[in-house]
Amino acid sequence: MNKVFAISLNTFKESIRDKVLLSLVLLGLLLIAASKMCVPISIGQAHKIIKDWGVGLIEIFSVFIVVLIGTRVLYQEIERKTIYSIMSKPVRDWEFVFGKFLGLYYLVIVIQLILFIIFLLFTKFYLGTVDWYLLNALYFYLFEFLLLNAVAVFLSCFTTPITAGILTLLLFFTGQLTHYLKDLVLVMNTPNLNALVNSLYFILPNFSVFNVKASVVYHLPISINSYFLSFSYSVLYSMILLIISSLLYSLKEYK
Amino acid sequence: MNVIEIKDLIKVYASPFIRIKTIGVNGLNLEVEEGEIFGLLGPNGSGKTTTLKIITGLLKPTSGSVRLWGGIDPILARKRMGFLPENPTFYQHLTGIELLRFYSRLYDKNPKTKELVELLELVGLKKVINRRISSYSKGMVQRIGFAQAITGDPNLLIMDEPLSGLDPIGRRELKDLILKLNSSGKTILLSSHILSDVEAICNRVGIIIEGKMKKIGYLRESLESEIRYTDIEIENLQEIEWLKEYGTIRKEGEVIYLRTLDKEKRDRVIRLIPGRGGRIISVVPQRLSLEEHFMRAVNE
Repeated sequence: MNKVFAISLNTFKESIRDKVLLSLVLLGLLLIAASKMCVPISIGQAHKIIKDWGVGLIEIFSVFIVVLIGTRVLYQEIERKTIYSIMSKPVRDWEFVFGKFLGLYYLVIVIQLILFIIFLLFTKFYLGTVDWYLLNALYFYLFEFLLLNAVAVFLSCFTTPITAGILTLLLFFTGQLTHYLKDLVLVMNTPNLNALVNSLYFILPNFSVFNVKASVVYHLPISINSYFLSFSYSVLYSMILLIISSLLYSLKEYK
Repeated sequence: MNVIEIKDLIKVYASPFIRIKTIGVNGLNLEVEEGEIFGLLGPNGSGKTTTLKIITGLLKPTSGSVRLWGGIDPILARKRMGFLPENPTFYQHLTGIELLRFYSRLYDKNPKTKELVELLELVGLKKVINRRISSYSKGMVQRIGFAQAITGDPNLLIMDEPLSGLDPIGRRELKDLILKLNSSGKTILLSSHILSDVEAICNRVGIIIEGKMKKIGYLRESLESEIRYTDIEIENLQEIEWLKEYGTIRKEGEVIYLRTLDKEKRDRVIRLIPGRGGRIISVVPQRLSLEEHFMRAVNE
């Protein structure tokens, strides 16, 4: 695990110095602050608008970080030829893949924590109180982005960063709607199509299990099952993707 | 004991979408003994880098076998191995000392800062240990490449063009370092285009042409095996016309230089000169240089 930790820490350090990241974080902070501008056009709804805007923005920015940085972490090692000095050392393919994945995940966690702290301070400044219930969203985001990171790393094992980025984005947005596939099966009466749609429902990552935005903004109760489901689903699905990624990576050659 | 045993190694690069195949290595055989410095020579594209990358596990052979230390587990083999790639690149965001600490951890080692500083001192980078790699010159990158290759204290060092990008002082220093590492018991396999460097540091050389090992042998043995001609320096010889029968002559003052191509004629003239009143000052056989050996192998 020492090697996985060393690779992850190096990936984190490298990403934190990425100019794309700095620009994204600055833009995120600006946009959180911009939510104040929406207040005049939503009389009486200021609290909800600011919270909704902030929670949504943190999610979208995390998605962009994964798409723009996460899909490049493996590719860059090959492109810059730094991989030669790593894979010629006693490092197994899975140690490299898990290390890169974890480094990217540390980055997302740190960025989310920064954005959440600033967002909570912002709510204190403009709304007078800190809404601690919003932190529930952070819990679900941590597992949502564990999975999205695994999706990005998996896709970047066999595609270019651009393709992996587009596919990651596509899977993230379709993953918010996969529960509708279940409803589709109920409406359709074609057995073959039903089997296909059912398979898609189980294969495609279901990001809707992490969607508690409405609950945290409107202070609706969140069941214990949701906490457990988001954790177990994310960890299990991510592990499967990372194991497949490691197998795919072991087929790679470094010319 | 052989550290590396390569048998009938073939590497074909095939593109997944087009039917063009490139042969990287074509039936290569090689054995590297423990404790030697083996030099791989060959023109560009002859398969040197491909061979080194297969040994280090960066490429997979299409067929044939590569056995390290008699066939131990590849991860264990890589634990005993250090690799310096050709034109190496390293993480630009790290300082010299951070880079070596990172690579040490990949060997499951956690060295003290003092040990890393000593390693950087060994490759002549003590003054820049806290500077980022992005500010290093090409020569410095090559030196840090050397340092990362020896971070795990390997038994086998594989180096692809280790002296490229270095100034004459750097080349001299790193040549001395290679010899020092070898004298401490490390086996070294290197490839190089710089024949004089190979001649200066290697015990044994192999010449690869079009993916095949064309010639292999101990450097001294192969260089001494063929004498191109012999120069004989003579003085006190009054009559020199008879010497023309044995080779070409050149007179500089009282000294006569005879260049003879034939071994039998050389031996005969050496016997005759004292009888004709001459005195032999020197007999210098001129042997084939490594460059001439190399060119001959390329043209064969």
